[in-house]
Amino acid sequence: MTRAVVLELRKMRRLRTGPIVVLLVLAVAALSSASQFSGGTRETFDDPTAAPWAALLLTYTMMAAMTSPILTAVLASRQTDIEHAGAGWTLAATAGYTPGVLCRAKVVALSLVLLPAVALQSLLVIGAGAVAGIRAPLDAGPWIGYTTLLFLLDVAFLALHVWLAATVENQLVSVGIGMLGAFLAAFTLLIPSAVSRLIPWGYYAVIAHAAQDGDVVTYQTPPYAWIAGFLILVGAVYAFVTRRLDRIER
Amino acid sequence: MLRAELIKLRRSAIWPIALALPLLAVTTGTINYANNADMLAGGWAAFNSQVVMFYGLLFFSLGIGLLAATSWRAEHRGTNWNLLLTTSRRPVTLVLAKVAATAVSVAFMQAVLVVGTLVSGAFVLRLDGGVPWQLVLVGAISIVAALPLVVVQSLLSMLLKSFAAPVAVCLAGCVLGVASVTSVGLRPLSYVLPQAINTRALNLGSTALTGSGSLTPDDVLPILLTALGLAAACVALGVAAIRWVRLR
Repeated sequence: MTRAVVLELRKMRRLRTGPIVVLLVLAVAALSSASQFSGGTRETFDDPTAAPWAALLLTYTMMAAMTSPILTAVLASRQTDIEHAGAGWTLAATAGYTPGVLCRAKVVALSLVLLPAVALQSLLVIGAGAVAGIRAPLDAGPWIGYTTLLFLLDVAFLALHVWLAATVENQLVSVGIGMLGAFLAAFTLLIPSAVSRLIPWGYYAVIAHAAQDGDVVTYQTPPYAWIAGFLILVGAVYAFVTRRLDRIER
Repeated sequence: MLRAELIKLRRSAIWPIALALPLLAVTTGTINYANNADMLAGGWAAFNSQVVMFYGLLFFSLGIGLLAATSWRAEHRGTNWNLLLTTSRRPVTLVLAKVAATAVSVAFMQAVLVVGTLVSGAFVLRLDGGVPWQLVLVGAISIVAALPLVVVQSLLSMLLKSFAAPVAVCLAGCVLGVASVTSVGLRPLSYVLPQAINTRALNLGSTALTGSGSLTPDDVLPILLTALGLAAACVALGVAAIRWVRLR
């Protein structure tokens, strides 16, 4: 498995996975913190009751929900599409890496890239808030919690899209579903959490650590049990379907 | 050549996506309008603004990126690219045929959006007032306004060979577009960035985006003219790319 992961990391160099991730991380961070530099937002910075950090976290949640499903779909599709060209599945299988192993290695390798990327994204948003002049003390807990859950959720959707890209050769399906998912993720932020829990992409809204309550934005505790259940379910299903991939005929 | 493209288009898998995306926009817009009916100023304008909110900022442009990538995907499979280079037709014919085929599917997407909005507004939400035919006009304008992005994404999909990479580039452009239409400092960019032109065209007469302009010749003509000019310039760039860039 370790060797398969190392191989996947090598494939990323020519796929330019690094530049794509950096580009999108910078874009999302910029979009999340753009409002911090407007006059209206700045007036709230010195007012501890206005909770400027929680408001920033909410904007960040919105932008991450809209873009993360597409980012994961693009990364997974690029990493998996190459195997369809030039009989990559067969070649890897003769070297001892069955399609199932290959798919699991792809998710692990992409997660290794995504972990520092998501952490950097959050740090950039916090940095932008500090540069813009938020003086209120930063409550680190919700930010660390949100970033961790965002990363875990991205891994879950990487698994979905690697599987889709491997089973359906036409990459339109994987990337298209990612795009429709991003739409749902953004929309679920506007509907009750009870409904979001039933939609896979709704979990980008369920993990929100900040919520708008009337006119004020406050920190909130997300339903950890639901999130853990969703992640475990995805892991179990992925283990099952990748095992099945080993037995299908191409 | 256009006929060949249309045959490829007819048998491709884009139709479910081209149908689902605008329908999703209409559905989410309807739910959102129904939930916040007391807060929103009623009527068609408010409803339409809810429909095009996410769609106009991000997903219309991303959809175009996907459609363009799909139309080029077949040419990058197997030895199709070499086959394509042996054609006796001029390169501009190929570029224009691809753009036209993509534009047809974009027009389909917009038709679904407009019809969906009208049906939902009239029969689900039962909005007051006559049926607003301006929506049809905005739909038509947005197809022309989408041309620069269609050409740019087509060019990217041709050069990058990958399916997903141009979509990622499009997403980055969308992010820049959102920044340019919402902030004052970057406003000039929103007149030339293809993604931002889309956002502005879809939000003509909208109440959700400030400074989005209205359906008057003064606001519409600049958008249409920039769109056509940009599209023509990018077509020229595409022809030059086929001549000078060595792919494979």
